[in-house]
Amino acid sequence: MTITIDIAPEKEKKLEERAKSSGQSDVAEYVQKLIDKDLELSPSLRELFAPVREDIKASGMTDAELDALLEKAREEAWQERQAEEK
Amino acid sequence: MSEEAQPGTPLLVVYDCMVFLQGLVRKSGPAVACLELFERGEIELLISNEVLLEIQDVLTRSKLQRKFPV
Repeated sequence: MTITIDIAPEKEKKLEERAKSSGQSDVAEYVQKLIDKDLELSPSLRELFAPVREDIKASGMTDAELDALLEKAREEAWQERQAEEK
Repeated sequence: MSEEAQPGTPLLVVYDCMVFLQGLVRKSGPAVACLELFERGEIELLISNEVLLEIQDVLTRSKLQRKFPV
């Protein structure tokens, strides 16, 4: 199968940089590897958490509120571990 | 980061628990970018059992579960 797509110049430049940093001189080869990787992988953690992000978005919670919630939960977990170790 | 990776060799990286937490639940931001580096294979992630347990512990806190069941 042959696919022809248009890529904006700035994205083309980034692809060239990424191909080079991963040791490949050919952008087409790099893109082929990206496709292979995507097809082989089971859902990523980010993909698995997509429903959670949707819930957060629906809740209207801001990023700052979310960060505060995570920090608080993390602090609580840490405090409990400290108490258990004593 | 103290070293540049050689071409074709992913940089070895250790992430704090919060990078995982923010990276998973936020739509965008520095933590998301950090996880995407890993998903693209541009870095190699080193992670300990302690960090994994911490992530699990925080995500299963009743405070979070009530708001956003995982």
